[in-house]
Amino acid sequence: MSGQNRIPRRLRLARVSSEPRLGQVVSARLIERLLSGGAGQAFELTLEMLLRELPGVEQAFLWVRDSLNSFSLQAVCGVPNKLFGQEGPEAVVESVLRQAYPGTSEEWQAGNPRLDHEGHILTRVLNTLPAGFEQSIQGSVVNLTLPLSANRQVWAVLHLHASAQALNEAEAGLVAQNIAGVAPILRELYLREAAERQSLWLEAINTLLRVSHERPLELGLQDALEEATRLSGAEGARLIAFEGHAIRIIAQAGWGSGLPVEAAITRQIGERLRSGQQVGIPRYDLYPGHRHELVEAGLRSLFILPILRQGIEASALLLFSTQQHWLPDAQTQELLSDMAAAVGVVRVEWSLRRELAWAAYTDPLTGLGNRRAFERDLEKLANRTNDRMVVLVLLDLDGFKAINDTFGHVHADHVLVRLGGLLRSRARAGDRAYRLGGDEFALIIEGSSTLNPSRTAERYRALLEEIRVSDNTYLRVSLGYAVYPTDVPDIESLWRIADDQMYKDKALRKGRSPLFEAKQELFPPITQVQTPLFRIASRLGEVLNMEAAELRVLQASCYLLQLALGEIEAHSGVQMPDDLLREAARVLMFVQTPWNGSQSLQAGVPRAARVLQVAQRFTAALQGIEGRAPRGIDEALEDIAREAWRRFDPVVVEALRSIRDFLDESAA
Amino acid sequence: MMTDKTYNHREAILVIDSRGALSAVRNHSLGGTWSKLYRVDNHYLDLSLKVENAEPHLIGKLVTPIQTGGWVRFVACDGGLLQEVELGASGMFRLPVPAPGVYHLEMSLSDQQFVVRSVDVY
Repeated sequence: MSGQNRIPRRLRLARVSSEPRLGQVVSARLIERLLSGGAGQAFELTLEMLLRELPGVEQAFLWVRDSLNSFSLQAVCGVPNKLFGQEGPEAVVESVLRQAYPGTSEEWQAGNPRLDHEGHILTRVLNTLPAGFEQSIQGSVVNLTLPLSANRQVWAVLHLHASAQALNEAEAGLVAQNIAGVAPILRELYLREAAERQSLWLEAINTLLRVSHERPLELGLQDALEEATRLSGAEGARLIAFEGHAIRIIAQAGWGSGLPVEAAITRQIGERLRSGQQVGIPRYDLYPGHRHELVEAGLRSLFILPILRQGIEASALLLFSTQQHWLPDAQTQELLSDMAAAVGVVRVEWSLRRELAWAAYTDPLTGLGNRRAFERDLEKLANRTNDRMVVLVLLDLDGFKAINDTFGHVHADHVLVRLGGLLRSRARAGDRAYRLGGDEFALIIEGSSTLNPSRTAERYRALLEEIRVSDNTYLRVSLGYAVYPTDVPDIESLWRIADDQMYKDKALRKGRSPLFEAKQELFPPITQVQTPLFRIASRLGEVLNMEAAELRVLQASCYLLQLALGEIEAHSGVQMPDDLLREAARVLMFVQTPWNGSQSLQAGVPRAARVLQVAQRFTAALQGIEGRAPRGIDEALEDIAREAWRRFDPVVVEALRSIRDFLDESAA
Repeated sequence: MMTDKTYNHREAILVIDSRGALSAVRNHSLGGTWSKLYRVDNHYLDLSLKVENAEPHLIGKLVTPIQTGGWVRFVACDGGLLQEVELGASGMFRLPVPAPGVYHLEMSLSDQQFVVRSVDVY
């Protein structure tokens, strides 16, 4: 080639210029210009200088490695940018650039410049010239390919396209020499930007991995999606979970918040994602299964990454754009994969944490809160700022040990499971139920001042007493409750007071007495009725050491029984409050229930009913029953004694025998 | 050197590209198989890279409004013709890939000719 040692005119005749220029020694001004912007600007500045210094060179292209195997076009000069479209040409794999290079592999790795005269270089790299890209050079042309190598690896490739006379071997050598001066700066700038980009990704991923457990996970995921959208150049992102055939949105960011972008995932795409494949759709508008409403809304490209994790449902990360051909580059895909993996890890961790919290605060048998949850919630109540009424109800199952002993632990557990199910399904909205241990339960009820604590507690008792233990035995429940601020001045005292109340109720029920012991002073004894049955029943109650309240119930039930049988008329002086009436009615429900020989299973039958049975039988015997002649006191006592243990409570029968003198006086 | 025979051919547009996700590849070593869908007018080319008996194969199915037959030319990056096969009645074809690299497919139908560029096999 002629002019082998000719130095390019501009390189030969350096002149004072305000523009930075290439030279064999890189000037401080050039370095300053290169470092003043980003890598992209430095690339363009370098190409502009080349074209300015090398007349006849029409076009310059710089390809830079963006992943292990691919290069992307980072700068062009002498060609209108619009010819490559908004996104530029797609990345090319290294072997394409290598094939277009006319030298050997050793020369490629060494970074030797090579010239060729085989038409436009891009036709070999892209296999075609982009539409509208017409060759501006008339006559023969020359291409210079200069691999930029560092550490025996090509990190960038410079292509110059010129008229044949503009470049020869000597000038190619000088270009290589000059570029060698700025290449380290360009490479450092590019690597620094890539590192900064990677750093931002890693920061976003680390932020996600450190997401506070004090705030909802969805907010942390949304922050991560916003970062992923920004860093990948997408316009919107969405995290979705596959639930059978349905798709649930977990978090979203950016454009398209009201758009069902996830509907773009057809069955075929869903199957690919589930099998661990990522899906890129650079032209969604050309996809045969596209949704018209998404295309009309502007959706043009999507990138979908599967997130497969054991323990939680399959999910996927979607990034999308209104630009055609938007897809993350290889490096971004790798970082997105890391973010997707982090999303999977965080979701699994939260899922495990939720399960752990559930296990830590839940009674496994009943599904109710456990004692730890109860104490935690009481503490929360103590620290709350509102002043709503709080009712703490403590419940204790009567005779549960007998149920265990009689029916076995499996059956007893079934009773507890049923109880838990009832409380969970039938509790008022907002009421919280707990199993404190064994057969002890608690309810925390918050409400306004219109809440009736007694009625609410009794409603729960009635609910639990619907549970059938055996054919003719139902669960019995003792309860106590305390109300803040009515009964106690502070939340801390609630438990103690409710516990006291519950034990009083338990003691009364064991003594076959009703709950309202605290209010007994309000109910005056019934003195207006003086029938034989009433007198004998009352006497038996005294002999059996019944508490005053239980005695009132016995008397009230006796009064109601005789009213119902038409043996007496209603007495206006008898006070019968609702609680007393209800307990008396409950006694009457059991008055025909025979003694079945097992003390432990009689826990549900009020003792007043047993007393009333015996007293009624005795008075009826004295008067004559079913056509039989009236019996004497001793005969009646003997008849009743014969049926002790079978029909009558033997303790009550014994008590009747012990008041033989009283019976004489009554008969007289 | 690449010939310029295909310069006047229309280029197929990549519509969808699915391949083993990087995380999945790292964790499960799924390999480099992929599946791509291209479109030119009303013609769709479903192209997959599959590994059968440790040999990579390109498996394609051309979906056209009217199946009229045609030819597929399998071309190396430097323009060398590797294989030419006739499309089956179902529009299917199968091409063994000799070595990792970048290839092109030239599709010649009765009413249409187009090229699928940068088919990467790694």
